[in-house]
Amino acid sequence: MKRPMITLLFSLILMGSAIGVSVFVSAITPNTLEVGSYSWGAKGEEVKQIQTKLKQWGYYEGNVDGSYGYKTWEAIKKFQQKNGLKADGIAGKQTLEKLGIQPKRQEVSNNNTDANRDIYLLSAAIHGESRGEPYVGQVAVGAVVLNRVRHASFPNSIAGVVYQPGAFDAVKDGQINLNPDETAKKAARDALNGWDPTNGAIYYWNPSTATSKWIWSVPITSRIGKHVFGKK
Amino acid sequence: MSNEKKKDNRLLRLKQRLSEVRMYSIVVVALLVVGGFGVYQYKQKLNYKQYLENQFQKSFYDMTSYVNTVDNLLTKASLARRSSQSAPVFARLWKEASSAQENMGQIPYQHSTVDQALKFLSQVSDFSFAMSQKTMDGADLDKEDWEKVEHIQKYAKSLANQLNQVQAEVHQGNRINWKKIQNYGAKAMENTPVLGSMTQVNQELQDIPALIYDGPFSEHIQQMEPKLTKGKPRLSREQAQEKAANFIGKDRIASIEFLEQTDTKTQYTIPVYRFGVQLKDQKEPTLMLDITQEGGYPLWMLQYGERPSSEQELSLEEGRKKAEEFLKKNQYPNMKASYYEKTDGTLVVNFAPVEKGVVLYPDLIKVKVAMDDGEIIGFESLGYIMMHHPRELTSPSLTKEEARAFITEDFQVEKANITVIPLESKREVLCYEFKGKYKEQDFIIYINGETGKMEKILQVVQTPNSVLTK
Repeated sequence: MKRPMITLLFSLILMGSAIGVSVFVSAITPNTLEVGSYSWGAKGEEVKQIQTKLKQWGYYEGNVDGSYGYKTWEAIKKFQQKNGLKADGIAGKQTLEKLGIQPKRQEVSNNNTDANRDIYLLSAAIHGESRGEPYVGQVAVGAVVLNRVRHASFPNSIAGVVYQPGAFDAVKDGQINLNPDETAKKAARDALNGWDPTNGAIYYWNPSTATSKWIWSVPITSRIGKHVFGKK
Repeated sequence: MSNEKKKDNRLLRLKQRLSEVRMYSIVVVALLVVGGFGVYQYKQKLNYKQYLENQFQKSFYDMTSYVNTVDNLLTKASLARRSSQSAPVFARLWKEASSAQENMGQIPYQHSTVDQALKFLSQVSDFSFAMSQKTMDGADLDKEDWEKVEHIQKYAKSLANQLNQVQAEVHQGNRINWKKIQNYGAKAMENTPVLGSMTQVNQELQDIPALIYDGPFSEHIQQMEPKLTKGKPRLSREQAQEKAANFIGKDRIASIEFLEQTDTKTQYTIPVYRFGVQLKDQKEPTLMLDITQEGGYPLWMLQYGERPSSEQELSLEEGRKKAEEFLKKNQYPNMKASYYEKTDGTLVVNFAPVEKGVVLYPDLIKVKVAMDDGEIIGFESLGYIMMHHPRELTSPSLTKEEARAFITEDFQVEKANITVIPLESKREVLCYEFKGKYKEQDFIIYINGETGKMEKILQVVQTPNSVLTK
């Protein structure tokens, strides 16, 4: 009588934890907002537009600073309640429509797709590898990717370098798929425009987590934030 | 009474047994579910693993076959002695070597195991392109070129042989353990034949003498010295700090701090002092810049502080003027603005110096302007520091009309200049620059002032916010 009880309990716990783990994993796996909707933490021109409208109609009292913070969130919720929308604080398609803002369509102009593709991929790599680093450190990570593209010992395209097996931890663990923030995009643009705070580095590593001894044989060109940059 | 009790007992026991049976079945079902879940996950993992290994295997097969073709083509190339014969061979070599490099880059080797091999293949591809260009221009390869071909061929043969050996081992049933290849570097691999041979090739290739030719992966590019600063007197840290403060403007600075200086052991970098600056209107340091140790020139500067929002926005013309004024103030005279791009309230303008009416595009400087109040928030002058030097500018031997005749008549010239442009190999050529329209689209065409060769064609991409080229 007791044994089966224990077995049952045990298997229930096992099952529960298996489900729990998978739920947990899916919860920490980045969940991106729908394209064209804005929520807490969003930044940019569109947020400025939203704030301007909200302010005009008296829902919002903060600054029109293009940064979606608590006040904007509260204002959006108030606005949604008044207009019979789901008051979730996320400015999605319907909310934007009611605000009279044209949802920004992804501009696919033939002319700039090359540049946009480069900026997006590079900013995703920067975001995955170095968010939380000082701004110049983020530009530096972008510069290393571009220095590799120009270097004979590495693949000769941005995608080739970023997705080279084993080259970047953020690619290995999937953080490259996070939506890059505005800072990463700015850093990517600066790097593509030629700013190189690493002085020509093709490697970087974090001294407190680097496991390969080999990396310390690489001459150092620069140190920014948590990263050390070097070139052979 | 006892009868009733017995009945009660029996009932209880039956109940118990029932519940036990039910319990067992629940346990069994639960175990089956968990077990099934596990088996499913495991099978899925195997599937993914197999898929990945197949991709690696494919890259390995392709790479081996491309390298063999490279070896084979190089032998054929050395048989030909006239440009018309070797041109198609070099064109194919260019493609095959590039494919070999691409496939090698997709195999999960540790980078230090294959970096020399990757470099070798990049250079073979690039060199072949330079040779095919040369033959297309009608020139024959000279003795030195043929020596290089022979030289490359020797190493290509060795690389092909090693890879073939690995392939043969695979065919004998020694499967490549990709997991191991990924996890162990150059050290722990003597007992893995595949890796062992790869390390050997890589080491062999390390001894290859520098390959110098007219292409972007040529060895001379990595070894270039900054023409502007090389040999100029070396500044002390204090002197450099003074230069930095003057460059930013002393009246704007709250505090300036020395951050680091380039380790002199690091080869082929521009030695610099780095400073962090806190501006008066900022709460923390938000500006960084490098000053070259030799000569004391600013190499780059970035100001990345949060900007208060502002309704005001400069026009492109005003933004460009701000950038021009800044350059003038910092003793960069006669700079001409060319391309620009405005994004997120900032404008980046490219500048090139003009000397005796000739635009010197290699000596590039970029200035970044904040479009709210015109503050200069970025400066980048790697091109200028690497390439700016006194040039002997002679006038081109072709006249403007003669050069124009090398372009189709349908191209409507709107503007012509004499310029120096850098090729991908950083070689400089004196060119006529023709700006104009072809089929409603804007182009810039560069015609070599000596030979009439079309060195570069750029398509101008004009939007309300930018003028760029592709």
